[in-house]
Amino acid sequence: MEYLTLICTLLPMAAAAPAYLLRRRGEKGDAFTSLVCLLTLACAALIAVFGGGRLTLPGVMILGLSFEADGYKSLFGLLCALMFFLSSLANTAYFRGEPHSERYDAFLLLTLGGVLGVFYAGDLFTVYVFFETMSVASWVWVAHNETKEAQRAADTYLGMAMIGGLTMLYGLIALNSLLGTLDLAALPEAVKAADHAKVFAYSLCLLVGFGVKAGMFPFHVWLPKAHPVAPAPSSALLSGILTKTGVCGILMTVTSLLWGDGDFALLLLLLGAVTMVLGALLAVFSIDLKRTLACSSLSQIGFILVGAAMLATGEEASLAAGGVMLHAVNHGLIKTVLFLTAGVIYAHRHTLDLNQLKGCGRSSTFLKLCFLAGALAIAGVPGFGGYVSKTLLHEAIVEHANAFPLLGAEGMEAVEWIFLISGGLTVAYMTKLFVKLFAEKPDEPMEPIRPDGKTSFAIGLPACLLLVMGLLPDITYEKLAAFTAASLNGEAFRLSYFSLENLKGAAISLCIGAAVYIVFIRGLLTEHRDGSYRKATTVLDLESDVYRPLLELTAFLGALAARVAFSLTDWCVALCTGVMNFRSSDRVTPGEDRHFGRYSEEYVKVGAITQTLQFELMLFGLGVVFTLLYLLFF
Amino acid sequence: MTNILLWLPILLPMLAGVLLIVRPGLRPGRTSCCLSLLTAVATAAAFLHGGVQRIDITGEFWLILTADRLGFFFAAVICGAFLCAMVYATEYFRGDGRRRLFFAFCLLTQGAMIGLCLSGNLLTFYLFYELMSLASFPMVLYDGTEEARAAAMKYFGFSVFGAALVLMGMMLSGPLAAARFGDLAKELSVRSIWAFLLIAVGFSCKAGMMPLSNWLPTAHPVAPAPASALLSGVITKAGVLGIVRAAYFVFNPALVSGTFAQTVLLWLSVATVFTGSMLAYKEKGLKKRLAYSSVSQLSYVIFGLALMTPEGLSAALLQVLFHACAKVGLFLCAGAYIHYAEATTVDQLLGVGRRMPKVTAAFTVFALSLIGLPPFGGFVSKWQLCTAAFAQGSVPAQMGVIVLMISALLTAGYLLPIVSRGWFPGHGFTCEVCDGGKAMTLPLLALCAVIVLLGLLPGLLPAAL
Repeated sequence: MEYLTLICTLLPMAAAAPAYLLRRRGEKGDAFTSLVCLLTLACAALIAVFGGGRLTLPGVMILGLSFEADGYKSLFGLLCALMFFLSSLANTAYFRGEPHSERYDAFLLLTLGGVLGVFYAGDLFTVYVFFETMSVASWVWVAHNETKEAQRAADTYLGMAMIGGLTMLYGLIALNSLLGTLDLAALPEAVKAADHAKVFAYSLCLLVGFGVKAGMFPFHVWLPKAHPVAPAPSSALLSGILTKTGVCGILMTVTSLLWGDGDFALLLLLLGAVTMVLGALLAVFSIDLKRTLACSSLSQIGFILVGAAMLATGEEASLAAGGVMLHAVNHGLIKTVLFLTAGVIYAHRHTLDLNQLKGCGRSSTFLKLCFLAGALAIAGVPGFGGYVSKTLLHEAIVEHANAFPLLGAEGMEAVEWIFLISGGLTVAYMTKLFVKLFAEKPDEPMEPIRPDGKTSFAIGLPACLLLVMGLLPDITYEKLAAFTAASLNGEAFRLSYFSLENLKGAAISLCIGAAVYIVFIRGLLTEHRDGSYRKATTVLDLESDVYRPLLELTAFLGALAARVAFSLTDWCVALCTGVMNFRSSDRVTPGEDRHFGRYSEEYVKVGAITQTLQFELMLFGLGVVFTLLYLLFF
Repeated sequence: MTNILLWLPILLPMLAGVLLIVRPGLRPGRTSCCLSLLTAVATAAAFLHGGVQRIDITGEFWLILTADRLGFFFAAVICGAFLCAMVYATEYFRGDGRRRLFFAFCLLTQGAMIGLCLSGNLLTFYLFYELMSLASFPMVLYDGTEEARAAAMKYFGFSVFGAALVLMGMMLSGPLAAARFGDLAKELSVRSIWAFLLIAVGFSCKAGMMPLSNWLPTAHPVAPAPASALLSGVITKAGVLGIVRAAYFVFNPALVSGTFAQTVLLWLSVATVFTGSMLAYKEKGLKKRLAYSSVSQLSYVIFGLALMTPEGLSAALLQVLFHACAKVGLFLCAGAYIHYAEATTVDQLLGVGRRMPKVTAAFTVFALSLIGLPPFGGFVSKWQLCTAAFAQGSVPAQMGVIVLMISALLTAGYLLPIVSRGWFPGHGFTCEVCDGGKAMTLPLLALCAVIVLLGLLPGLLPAAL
């Protein structure tokens, strides 16, 4: 059984090359890709049921790889395999007639292996190996469309991934040298004996690496640009599951390295809260369908990070652990529904501009219902999945009111309100999307959009799951939470989700959302003439206004220093030649020169300098300098 | 018996080289490839057989030939690289009337380099070192243009200056220069430490460490691609081998450790790592960019060696292997781009993945390995280097780890845009496929295989010490 994790990881990677060749032959290859994903899903399910025992491969890359899947890791793995399978089903219809779809399929499978490797890793070294593989492989998705925006977004994506990856690598090497191990199971013991300040500092390096992937503020800049330009099936994955590798990494850091560290928890809380609000605000202003969804992902990751912060305090972990895991699962399912729907719309209408998509889905009932399910779930409406996880996160915040001495009870109350307001903004931007796409009347009658069977299944299944699980949280979500609880140092719990107290939070969010939608979006952001959304002016784009100029400046200064340092030798050589050739003519005329009279016309460097007054003066000067130095120092 | 076996791998390619120069009738490409292969076999035989030979010159000076594991490691890298470059060159120089000369001097250089690996003391090493400089000089000069002549003179000038420093160091160090490798010094006077520093800096000229690195970015771009591959991939490693021999086999690493010589070497290598990467990042010409990259990557090796610990040494040797594979490969790819796509600057490489998919796929693997991304070999060596630096723990070593990370980022910055624009040129890009032939792609494939296989399972490498 322990080989399952390895098979699960390597199977898709090994299948990448055959998938490439098959797909190049024709559309049949798609079936192969889906089949591999399905097999992987079966493997992941087996791992989740029977557990993935520890497997070590000593000697691979010297340190050796190890795999172990339990609790939250195997749940993440299952979610990942499911999402990749669903997304691969939507490929055929989305890529019909597009060039280079074989490239996409191959890198889909490579990335699947990479992501699963991160989830099933037994030590941080293995995590890093698969993390980087995944980063590079998924970069191909972002660049796939080859438009100007795609190229720029891909550059940003790769650049951020590199910076994050190398920061993380530094942290890992330092931790390995400090603790002597990177094994997730052995780390908690090893940390106890080590210098806490150092562990903290190196863990921050890991946080940067994982934070970049998760889209945590201030490393989120790549996300709203990369997700919209990627093909829709991969946007779903980028948003729904690749960000979770970052979350999973942060959970690993929290549970293995910094369990119960108040400072780290506070840092996570602050960054998470900022991400939560920022993402939601960006989504409210966005008028691009996929960009709105990408910004919404940012915001949801913020929710998860806030939950992770509660978990990191090390007290009363059960609710926070459940909230984090369930919200991660829900977010994955929701984003599959929403992005695949967006993909179907794009494949039929070839635009993502909301104003041009007015009413485009009005006549397609199936899409409308699925999108509605996704929207209600993400908005946290009772009866759908998102409500359960948001309630848990909310409860966790309330429970930890005194866990952050620096913030105090008032601070935590503020965090709770930020949480509720972000929830409200979620309601507002999802309403905005739904109304525009599915409720408003199109200006001219349009053909109804009909997704093909496979795509319908890929969209319908998670939508149904969200509804069913949302209605029966006791036998679904709580079981999942109980399954992961032990691995996150929590316990199983029971909560009455539909009690008045818990419904109140959702009600507040919904009210805020309604208010924001009516007053702000309808009132200020909409042209009254034709009901189209106004394009908001960007106040500050962190990437193009801060990061890129800063990097360019650093590169300029670095290059200046490097050029000077590198030229020193050349200058010395030039100076020496100059001194030797001082006052000597370049060309020596034969017959007139006493020393080199017999030579032909050639470039000769003459020692004529020794006969000049200047030379004697220079020698005298040198003598004076040496005497002075001698007097000064000896 | 011993004598012949030890001399054979040195003399065989050298004689063949001379023969190629004086007898123009032979088919140079195929002959030299076979001879290079034969040399590899002879080298393997020499090292498997082992043995020592001593030739007395005067009372205190003698030459020693010997075969040990470290020499074997370097000889294997050298033979592999030469074989790859020569097979590649048969296609690269097809139809060039003067290609005979290239192959001849290639063989001469190979002989001298095998001699370096078989040397048993610093004196012998110095002899073959100068021989190698002389033999490789015409490879830079090959094109015969004014630019090539100036570059060759610069290469030669720096080589001679570096070698002169080595000679000076050897004179200062007295009996150590003639001592057999492995007879470590028992104690080091201040004079010996100065001698060591001179020798190390002198050898580092070949390995492209500042302040004597300026010849690399001048000489590499003007040399023909297989020659630049060899210059950058293995000839620079002769300098590395020199430093290894001096530090770990003559002057005792335990005694050098903690002296000012170590500090100077560490700081110089750290500075070079950064400088080389930074300049490569700003450079537009592909081969010149790769040359600057070599400057930086070779200083990784010297950084590892300057740590003066066994871990540092083994990490540096891994870096030697993987850098040799990646850099030989990259230069061969660059040559293929020049040959088939007529692209010399980075901007001209737009869409090159579509035009030459096989070559560009190999280029991608080499680039990822050079950056140090898993699962390729470069990652393993970088990890080991940083771990060794942390274990050593001095200020320049700690600083070095950070600089190594920055340099890796810059490496990504100067290689990945080529990969990215090569595979994703943008909408509407059309071109015809004109990929390299078998003689070009086979060496690239072999190098990729080494990088992936030994990157995943470095345990297959025998311990070099």
